[in-house]
Amino acid sequence: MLALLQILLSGLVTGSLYGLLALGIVLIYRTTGVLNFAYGALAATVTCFLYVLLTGPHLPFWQALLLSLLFALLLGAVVERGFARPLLAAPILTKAIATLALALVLQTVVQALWPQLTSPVHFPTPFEGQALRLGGLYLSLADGLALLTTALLLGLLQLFLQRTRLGIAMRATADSLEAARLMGIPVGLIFLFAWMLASLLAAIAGVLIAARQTVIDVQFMDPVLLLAFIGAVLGGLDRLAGAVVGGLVVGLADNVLALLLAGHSLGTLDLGDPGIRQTLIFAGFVLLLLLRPRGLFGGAALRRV
Amino acid sequence: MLRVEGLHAGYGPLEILHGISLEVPAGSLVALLGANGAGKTTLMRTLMGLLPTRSGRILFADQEIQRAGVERRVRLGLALVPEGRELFPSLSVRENLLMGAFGRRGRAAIESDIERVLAYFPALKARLSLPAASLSGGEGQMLAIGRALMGQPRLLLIDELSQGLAPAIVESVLAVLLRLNRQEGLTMLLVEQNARKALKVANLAYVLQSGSLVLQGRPAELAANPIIQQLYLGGEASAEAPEDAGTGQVSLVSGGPAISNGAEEEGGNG
Repeated sequence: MLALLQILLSGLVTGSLYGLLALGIVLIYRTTGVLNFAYGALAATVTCFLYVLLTGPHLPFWQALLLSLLFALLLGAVVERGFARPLLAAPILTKAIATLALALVLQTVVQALWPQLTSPVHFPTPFEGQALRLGGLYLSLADGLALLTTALLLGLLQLFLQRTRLGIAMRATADSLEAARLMGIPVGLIFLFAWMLASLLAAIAGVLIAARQTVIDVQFMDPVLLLAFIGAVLGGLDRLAGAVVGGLVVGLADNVLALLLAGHSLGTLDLGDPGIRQTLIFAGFVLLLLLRPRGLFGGAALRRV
Repeated sequence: MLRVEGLHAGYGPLEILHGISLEVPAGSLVALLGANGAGKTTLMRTLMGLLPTRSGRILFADQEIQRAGVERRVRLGLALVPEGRELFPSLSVRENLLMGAFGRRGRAAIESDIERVLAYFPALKARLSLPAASLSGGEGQMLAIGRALMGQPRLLLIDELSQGLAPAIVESVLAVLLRLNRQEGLTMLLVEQNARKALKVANLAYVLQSGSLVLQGRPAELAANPIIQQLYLGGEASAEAPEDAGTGQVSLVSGGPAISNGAEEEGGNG
């Protein structure tokens, strides 16, 4: 029983991180129609920047974190103006493919600037090795922070999108670009803001994930992003709350599968291997999409109309 | 209020509007008639700045705005109720109205304008917190108009008012527009498929054909015009014309039209 609870708890942690990433993916997709496959690279770039600040000039962690988050905002703005804006009118597939190129560019630049990140390095945080005990359950401090931060961010984002003029205008722009223009909403600024916000979310998710794994390299977000994308699509790609739930589902499935498969084997195949787990998740995902092409919640069409 | 001179516009290599000149005097309700594909929607979109002006001038409240962006035109007091309504489907009715007031400051004034819109369209009152996607066609058109009113426009452009609406709903929405025009002095340019209905409420009308204005004049005169009867009223001469039909000449030139604001000659549709 306790083992199951422990697994569920850790599923909740990974799930909330997937959810956080899925949220950023959906935010960008909804407001600008870009399926952003560079989202993981954005997160990794900022996390690598933080790593360099921590290990190069040896800045105090919180100071370096603050600088990195500012860098994330700047990076989001640069990507929007230099990359997403010129592609605004392009077909959705073109934009999606272009983000793959963007991911490569970001990774290449990071590797060129900081070659040490080409191979795995230790990511130092003040939370490393610390843990909380809740009854019989074990929760590392990094995991606890991940849960807390994600919950806080989701709450804040929800408040922002539901209650503030700018937040409602973002949703309005996502609903109908033309109507938003007719209202006099400065849609260009809304796009810029959406990318900056999504980049900030990516950076926070990246740092939280790096703090959990304690080891990063320039590509450390790639496998995570894939699962986050599955979460986003499960959620229907068009609703923010759905993205979070989708992320949680993927995170829980990942951890429960790990528990179920551990120690079992099929002939010479070790079912406890993480690769098997991911394969099963993908297979389940494909099956689910065949049954429910619009995600778990079956809302609006996948494509922006 | 609005003067358009020699306006050319279109999409890509295609020119749709070939030198439109028209005038919407302050306080008037002007009808724009024309068959499908005549360029009515293109004209509306060009006036709003959604489509660029290729050549010609748009003067609004004595300012040249043909190079201005949509945002600036909205700030100057232009608003469009677009073809197909273009609501924000996932936003609540209330949020839709709030977005109509995006460029405005002052919470109290905005709240009181929401009340005003609800007074004009009481059907929306019970729907305030529901998503706009859940509205019926008529309610949707009311919301689209209400949302445009929230920006406190000086000139309201309405594209395809009755599209997809039941006749009774069209009547009641037209009645509200008429009140806004006659009682609050809101200037309007109305694109309407149903020429008969449009001519009843308008005090000036233009007829657009293949991207050019071919006729203009007082509604009563246009309604009596045999060409109009043939093309847009679909029928027997003077059978459906307003009571005071046949009292003048339809003008084919773009001179300054005489506008009367009296409601009594509008066929009693108020």
